[in-house]
Formats: sequence, C-alpha cells, structure tokens
Amino acid sequence: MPAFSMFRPPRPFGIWTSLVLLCGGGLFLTGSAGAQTLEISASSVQGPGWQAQHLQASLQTDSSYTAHLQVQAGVVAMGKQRVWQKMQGHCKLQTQYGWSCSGLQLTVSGSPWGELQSDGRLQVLRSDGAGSLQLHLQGATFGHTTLRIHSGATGHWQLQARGDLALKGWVPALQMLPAKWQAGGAMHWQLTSDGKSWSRINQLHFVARLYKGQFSSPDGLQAAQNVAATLTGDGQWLRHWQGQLQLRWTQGGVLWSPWYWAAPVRPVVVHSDWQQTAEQWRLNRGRIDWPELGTARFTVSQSLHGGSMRWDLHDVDVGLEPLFAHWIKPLLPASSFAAQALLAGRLRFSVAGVPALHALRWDLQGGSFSSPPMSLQGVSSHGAWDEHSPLESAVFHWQRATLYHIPLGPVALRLALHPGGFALYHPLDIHLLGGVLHFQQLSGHWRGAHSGFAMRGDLKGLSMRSLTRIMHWPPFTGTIQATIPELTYHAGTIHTSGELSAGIFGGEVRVRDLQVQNFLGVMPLLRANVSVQGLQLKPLTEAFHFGYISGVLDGNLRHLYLLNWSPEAFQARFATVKTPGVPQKISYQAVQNITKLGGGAGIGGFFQGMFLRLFNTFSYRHLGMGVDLANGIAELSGVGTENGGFVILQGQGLPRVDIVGYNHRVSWDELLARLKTAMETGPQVHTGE
Amino acid sequence: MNKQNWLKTRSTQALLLLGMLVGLSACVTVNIYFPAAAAKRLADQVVGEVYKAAASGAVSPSAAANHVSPDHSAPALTAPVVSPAPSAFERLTPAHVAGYLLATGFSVVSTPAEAAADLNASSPGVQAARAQLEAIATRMRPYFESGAVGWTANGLVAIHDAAAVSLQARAGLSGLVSSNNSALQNLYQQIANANGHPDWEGQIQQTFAQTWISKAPAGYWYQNASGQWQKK
Repeated sequence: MPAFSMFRPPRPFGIWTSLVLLCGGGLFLTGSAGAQTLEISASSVQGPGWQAQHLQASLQTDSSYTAHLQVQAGVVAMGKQRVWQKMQGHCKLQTQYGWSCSGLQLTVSGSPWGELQSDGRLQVLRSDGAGSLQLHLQGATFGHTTLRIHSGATGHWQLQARGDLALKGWVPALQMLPAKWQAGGAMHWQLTSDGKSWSRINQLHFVARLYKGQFSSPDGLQAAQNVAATLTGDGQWLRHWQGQLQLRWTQGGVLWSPWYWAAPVRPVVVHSDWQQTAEQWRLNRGRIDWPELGTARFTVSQSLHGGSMRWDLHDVDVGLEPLFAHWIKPLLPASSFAAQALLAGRLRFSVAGVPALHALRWDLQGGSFSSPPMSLQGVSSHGAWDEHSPLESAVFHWQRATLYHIPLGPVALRLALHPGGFALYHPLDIHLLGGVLHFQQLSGHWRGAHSGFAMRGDLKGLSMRSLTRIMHWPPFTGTIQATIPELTYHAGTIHTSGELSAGIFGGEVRVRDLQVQNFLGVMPLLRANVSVQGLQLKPLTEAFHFGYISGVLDGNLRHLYLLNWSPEAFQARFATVKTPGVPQKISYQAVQNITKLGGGAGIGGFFQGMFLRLFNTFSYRHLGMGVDLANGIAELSGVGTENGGFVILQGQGLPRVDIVGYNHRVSWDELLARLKTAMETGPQVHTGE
Repeated sequence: MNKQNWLKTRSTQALLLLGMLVGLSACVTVNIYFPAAAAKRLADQVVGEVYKAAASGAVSPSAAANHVSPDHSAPALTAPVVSPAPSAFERLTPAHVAGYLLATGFSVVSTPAEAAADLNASSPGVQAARAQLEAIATRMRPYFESGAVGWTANGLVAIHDAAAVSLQARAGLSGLVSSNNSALQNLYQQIANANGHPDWEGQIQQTFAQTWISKAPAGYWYQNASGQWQKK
C-alpha cells in the first residue's frame, strides 16, 4: 500500500536523534561566544531497500531561533538503482514560529538525470502543526519540477506537482526501455493528490502530455516518431485502489515490425477503469475507439502472485479492409497470395487469451475477397473456435466466386472446428461451368510441421466448351470427368498422392506425380507426368480447326514442367493406335498443317497438290509425333525414321501420303506460332463420319 | 639418310611417343571439380539480369538464355534441316591427336585433370527461382539504394540501416529481406541440383556473393570479408 511517512518535529533539533542506524559516525558540538556548531556524520545509513553513505550534517546557530544548516550525502541507492553520487545542500533554519527552512539550495551530481539543482522552502508551523513544502527542482536532463505540499494540523495533506521533462534523460534513467534503445520527446505533467494522514494517499489525479515522442530500437525495427498523446487518470483508495485511465493518441506513427500504425485524423481513444487489489491489477470496462478501423471493448488482468496475463477483446466491430491492411497483412509473406488480397466487409468478433489466443468468435457480413487469380463476393461467415473445446462449428458462405476467371457457384460451407484445424461436416458441391466439383473431404490443419489443407473429391460434367472459352483456348467440346484422390496444400505447394484422371474427347487423361510449387504465388511451378489413352482424334481436331483426322491417340507427357502455367520442359510422345471400328483417316487440310508443323512448307508442287485435292481424306497406318522441350528448343521425332528424317504420318492405300520431317530442332515459340496459325486457317473439311 | 628411312625412323619415334603418351593418359583420373569459371559466368549473367529487372521494375519469367556458355539460338521451323556439324572425330588430324595426347600427358604429370564443365541453369527449378528473385528485386531496390539493406559477404541480404527509410517503409522490411534470402538460397540450391551436385551450393553461393557486390550499382552497401559494412 502506498504511504508517505513524515516525521513530526517534537522539538527543535530533535530530529538528529531519530536516525535509524549510524555506522562509524560521530557527533561533535563546539561553540564560542553565542555561536554553536553541531556536526553529525555517518559513514553509512541503511534501511529496507535503501542505503546512504557518507552522510554529514552541520548546524551552525546564529541566535536562539536561527541556524545555518548544511547537509551532504554520498552515494544513495534504492535497491540496485543509484539515486545520486553526491548531494549537497544548505538553508537558513528558523525555529521561532515553527520550523522554516528558507533559501534552500540543493545540488545533486551523479544522478540518473545528471546534474540537478534545486531551490525552495520548507516550513512547519509550530502553532497547529501545519506545514508546507515548496520545492523547485531542475536539471539539464531532468527538466524541471515544481512541488507544493501543504499539511494541516489534523494530518490531512495536499500535494500539487507539475513539471516538464525530457524523455531522452528519463527513459534510460528509469530503465523504461531495453538498453541501447533511444528515446526522445518532451512531456508536460501534472499531479494532484491528497490524504487524510501522512501514512496514506486517498486520491490522486494526473495528466501527462507527450510531445514529439519518439523511440527506436538499435536495429530501428521498433520505433516511433513525432508521437503526441495525452494520458489522464485518477484513482481513489476505497479499501483498494481504483480509478480511470484515458489515453488519446493524436499524432505520429508507431512501428513495431512488422506492424506500422499512423495516428488517424481523429484521435485514437482508449478508456478504461483500473483496479489494484492485494491479489491482482485489472483493466476493466475498457473501450477502444480507433477511427477508420472500428471499436472494441476489453479487459486485462494480471495476478500479483504470478501466473499469466489474461485478456479479452470483445464486441469488436471493425472494417475488414483496414483490419486486414494494418493488422493481418503485415504478418503474411510479402509475395504470398494472401498478402496481395483486397478485402471488404464488416467483421464483429471477440477474442481471448492467457496470454496466447485461446478463443475466438466471429460474425462477418457483406464481405468480399479479391486476390488474383481468386475472388469471392457476398461473403458471410460466423462461428467459434476454442482451444479447450474439442468441437465448435463455423459457417462460411459466398454468393459468387471466380478462380482463374472460372465462375464458381454459391457455396454454403459448414465446418467442424477443433483446436488444431477444421473439417467439413458434410460433403460439399461447388457448381462450375455446368459441372460439379464434389468435395468428399476437405480439412485444414494449422499446427505442426504439416499445416495446410487436404481434399479429396471428383469433378463431373465440366463443360469443355465453357472452359476453353473462358481460358481463351481453342474451343473444345464435351465434358470433363475427373477424380481427385488426395490433394494436399502445404507451405505454398500442392501435392497429389494418387492419380488424377479426367475423361476428355472419349479418352482418358491421367495425371500422376502432380506438384505445384508456389501455387497462387509468384511464378508457380507445376510438375507432373501425364498419360493419354484412347483419345478420339475426330472431336479433337474438330475443336481445333486443324483439319479432319480420325483415329485413336495414346501418348504421354513425361517430366512436364509449367512455369507460371507456360511449358518450360517436357518429353511428349503421342501416336495413334489401331482400334477396331475406328477408321484412320486424315484430310488434305490436316496433311497440310502437319506438314507445316513438322517443318515443311506444305504440300509442294502444283500437280501434286492439285491431285491430292481431289481426295477429301487419306488413309494412314501410323500417325504420331514426339516433342522434347528443353531450354526453349523442341526436339521433334515421329513414329519412325526415314532417310535421316522422322516419320510423322505413314500412309496406306492409294493415294498414299507420308509426312517426313527433317527439322529436328525448332524453337518452341515458333512451334506454338505455327500451331496457332494451323488451327486458325481455313474451314476444315468434314467427312460426315 | 634417305627420305624413306627418315620417315621410318620418325614413324617409329612417333609410335613410341604415342604409345608412351597413351600409356600415361590411360592413368588419367578426371575429377569434376567445381567449375569456378562457368559459375562466375553464370553469376555474371543472372546477377546482371536481376539488377536489370530491379531497375526496370519488370519481371521477365522466361527471360534469358538458359546455358551460360553454349549459345542455343533456335533455328526457325522453316529453316532447312539442321545439317549435322562435323563430328569431333572427323575434325581430328594427326596434329590434333598429338596435341591432345601431349596435353593429356602433360596434365597427367603436372596436375589432375579438371573437367571443363559448364553450369546448367536451364532447369525449370532454376528458371522459377530466377523469376521469383527478379520479382522481389523490384521491391528490394529502394531499400538497397537508401542503404537500408546491403549484401552480406555470403551472398544474402541483411538490414544495414533500417532508419534510412521511413517508419512505414520499415514495416515490411524484415519480411521482404527474409523472402529475398529464401529466394536466393533457393536459386543457389536449384543451380547446384540442376548440375547434379547439391554439394556445390556453398561454392555457388560464394561465387554469387562476389558478383552481387561487384556488379552492384554505386551507393549500395555490402559487407566485406571481415563483416564490416562498406559503401560502393
């Protein structure tokens, strides 16, 4: 319990008998012709928690009621904190109408604030025991302080103090910041207090105004500049201390890497009741009003007998955009997908911790999320999570969404939340492009080395026509059916443990060893092995306007690498397989395009070309091609070799058309350009098959 | 000595010499040492492109040549069939053989042979690492120019003087430096992996470390070998 102790002057000069402990000291009394000198010295005086060395007082009397008092002290320490190295003072002591120490002059050296000078007056009236002290203390580093204390005969006292101080000296003096941190700025403060007896403070009120406040850690990553703030507070003693505090932050910026906050136009106001008992201190009924962000209420408590700090932030009502921009985004890797997001909406939530977060409850309305290539609109969500509750639930809903420009239908997710993650309550369907993406399992884990997401499901009926139109690909027809056995997302990378399969153009595409590094991030890198079986060339070539080809194609794409979704390397082999009931025919247009693709200039020769034009289609025995892409160069091969070239098309019957390529190495960009040209040229020939 | 005898004698001597050299060269062990010169050329190229991307603010994921030394200029599709260059065997002449054997023999008795390997930087992993680094480089440049960050002696980035930029700019500095260092480490590892020597990562990193500093624009800060900060 805070208390002031003050001696009552029983009689003149009687004070010197009340020293607590004198070690190695002395007392001398000398005098002559009406003047007497009293000297008291002590090499060391100590009490609980403090110690003073080399004390010396000298009292030289001029008359019965007047004396000249000189005091001197060596090192004084409170605990481990040295108060000063040396103190000297003197005053004129008069005792005619009580005690009066006028012309008080004090000099202090070696204090945490450097050199200090003080002048003032101390007066204690004899008639009713009332007294007053007026003291003015100043120092270059210390600033200046004016102190007035008045005490009545009943012991009731009042204190008024005010001053200006420089944080540059005070902060290191009081060890308010770690060593080597720097602080600056000025503070004007006022304190009023009173008590019914010298042993007790009954109430106090203070105001501290900070101007141009700043601090900086040695590495500059925790810092503040030009901060202006006002802290006001009061307290009363009613069996325990309690009162109110208010902080108004009006100017400046604060950096606590990775966070940075700048004072908004209207001040940030934090208001709270406070209380301190023998058991704990507590901030209660706290309220934060942060313009341009929102409002919140809070409580904080800390046991005085150990234990962790408990806190909770409740009734938080904030805009999602500023919350994300200033509080969440700084925690995300700068190049991550989420860090690029733009969010909007209104979020209400409550959180609690001891001191780590252990409970969360939220309600989001009117939300939106946008971070290429994903966007969500009409988002709402509510739910709860508790560290100590094995099962909580959450609902997540969006009305519209896009992923890589693919529109996704509305979704209502119901999730089971457990302390370390979440899982779907029921299987989930997302409608897209006329089909359904079915999530049989979707779960997330945010603890441990394998934090991330996992899903299993399938895709049914996705329209290729819609997909190719959205992706600006050559138009395909048909639908995609795919099975997704196990897909995990961890640390920015997608893995599949099994084999993805999709039905397309009457055949099946299987994707194995799929891995996408930096998925949704900068420069994603996809690796996979792809195999194709039973692909019907007729619908495929119809889609591409490549020219009519019928037959069944098998092949594989090994060691496929896509960097930023563009091919970087692969080894491709595709060839037709003879299938009963499926004719192997190729149109003149397709022959022309394949010839160009393989490195030729089309069917050469006027008569040769004119003759072949007489036929709509030609029969073939084998059709196939190999492409090995590396370093931007494609190495071409075919279904066989002939005269140093590679056979792309081996015809049969009459007329027989063979296509043999001799350009084994081509630029990949050139190959793509040629392919695009081939697919865009002229109407294709339909055979009616 | 007539011409015929002279030729016979010289042929015998040449055969003896060849036999001796062949015998010596049969004992050669070719050690694949770290190709420092190729690594330096690669570092020059990659570092130059990253600085260029940082200066232009553009990211060019598919930029660039992939090998350091060989020039893979792609032939156009319509170009004639690539005629095979004369093989190394076809280009051999007795002088070449003798020169080669002499050189081989000399290398056997002087120092172990060193494979004149080039560093392959064309793997998709390297390309991705380079592209990611170039993307970050744009954002790192203001911090380098202000002196807030600098190059360490081991090819990474460290905060030199955060106070050189505003408080707001400092907020993301640690995260950006961390991302940049992850991208750098990934680049060094990917190059080592692409060349089948994951153990070369440290040497590649050291080679790059010197190049980041030597090619840095004036005003950039860097740490010297003793860890002291210096300004270019």
